[in-house]
Amino acid sequence: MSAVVQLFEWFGELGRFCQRLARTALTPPYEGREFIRQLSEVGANSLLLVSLAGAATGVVLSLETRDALLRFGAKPLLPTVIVISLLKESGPIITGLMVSGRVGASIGAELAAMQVTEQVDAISASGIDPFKYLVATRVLACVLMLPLLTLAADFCGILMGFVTNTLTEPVSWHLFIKSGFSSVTFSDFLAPTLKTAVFGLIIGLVACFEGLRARGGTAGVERAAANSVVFASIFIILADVLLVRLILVLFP
Amino acid sequence: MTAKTSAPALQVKALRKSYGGQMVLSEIDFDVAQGQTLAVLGRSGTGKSVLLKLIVGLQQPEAGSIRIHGQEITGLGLKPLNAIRKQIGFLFQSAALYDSMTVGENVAFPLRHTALSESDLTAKVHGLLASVGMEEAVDKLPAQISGGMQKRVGLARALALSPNILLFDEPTTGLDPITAQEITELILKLQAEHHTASVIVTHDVPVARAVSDRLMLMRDGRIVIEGSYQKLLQSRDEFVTRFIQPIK
Repeated sequence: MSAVVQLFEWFGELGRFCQRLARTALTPPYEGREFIRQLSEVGANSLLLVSLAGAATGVVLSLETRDALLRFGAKPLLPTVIVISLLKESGPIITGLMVSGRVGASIGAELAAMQVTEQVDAISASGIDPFKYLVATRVLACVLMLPLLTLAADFCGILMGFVTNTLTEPVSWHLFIKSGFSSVTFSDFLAPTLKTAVFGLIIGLVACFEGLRARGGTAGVERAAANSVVFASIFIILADVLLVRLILVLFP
Repeated sequence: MTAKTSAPALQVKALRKSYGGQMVLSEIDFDVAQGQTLAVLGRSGTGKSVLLKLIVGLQQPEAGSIRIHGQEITGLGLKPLNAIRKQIGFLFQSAALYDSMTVGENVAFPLRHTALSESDLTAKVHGLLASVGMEEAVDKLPAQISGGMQKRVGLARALALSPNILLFDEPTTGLDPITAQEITELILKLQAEHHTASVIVTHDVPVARAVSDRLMLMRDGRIVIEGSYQKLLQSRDEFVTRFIQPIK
């Protein structure tokens, strides 16, 4: 029973946290300098990881689907299957989960360490709103960077899908791309890519929330980092289910 | 920055605070005039640090009043509260330096939210670090300097916005006697230069005696006695006697 109460309390606190964030983030002054630093932290520092994950997904997709398509005599569809799989689902979800691990843990641990060592209090005591300086900048950076990182994952996945395919059966890049994108519509690409902005919102919100509610020294920091990754990953998966359904309704 | 009214720089009345039903502060009354220093003494866990956090609005009291230059800060909205906080410098017990920033960036942090140009800001940061003897450490990270040095940098950061009230939370705790003495001398020097109203929370009686005009001894969240060191010395209360003269 107490677990249920705790769950409701957690959501209640998160609701108040979002309300305060919305109130403070939208009003000037804006923390441009810190925001740019966070764009680099979230974006540039995750690029390699996300690209590698996207590339690995492209290789696996190519290897796995090739055999299946051969059985049904549908081998010419391989580029299309790789491109559509990556654009519509694999690229976005892989990016969301990878960034959730790297950035979620990083933000959660950083803010928790700042909280337990009174650094957050020091920011407040300077007359600066930590919600503006710490939270709004990180959440917004996650929202903006996730779709861009998804593009990187998509590109690397398609590239490595092509390379893997070419090693087995040489095909030109031009032909692979032309065939792959032949049945891809703009909504196949745009909506799934933009849905990762919601993943970014989830990662930023959950990690900042868990970081700032940390208590109890190093144990609190460890708990905040772990909770940030676990909760953000669960919410990303749940949000993905809802968003896929929504996209299918809006773009049938 | 100077006081705009003739009211005391800091005035606390009937302040009360509790956590989960446990009283931490009760019926706290005192005021500090501009240029004066009050030392708050007491055993660990007696609510001294909470008192400082209430004064700077980091926590809200259950009852009572806190006035900064005559302006009530309890229940104040975030924007006006932040404007008042800029008049207050706070040295945290752990110094609370931002560990991802260099010493120079730490001191510059409050100044980045003012209209100072980059060149003026750099000059001010160097001036502040020079005043606490830490100019050479400008590019070092907090983890690369000692605890005493961190306190010095914390002091420079607390002074960055030229506050007219300074709050010190255990400024010498955890430092060796020589470094503690250096920090005490630094506080005295900065008080003389900046003419601030100060509240120093400590359980170090010699430090309290050296830097303050008045002392206030607390026990279980209440004021036991307030006055000059002589007044505390003359007290017949056993707790006061034991605290002021621990070794006979």
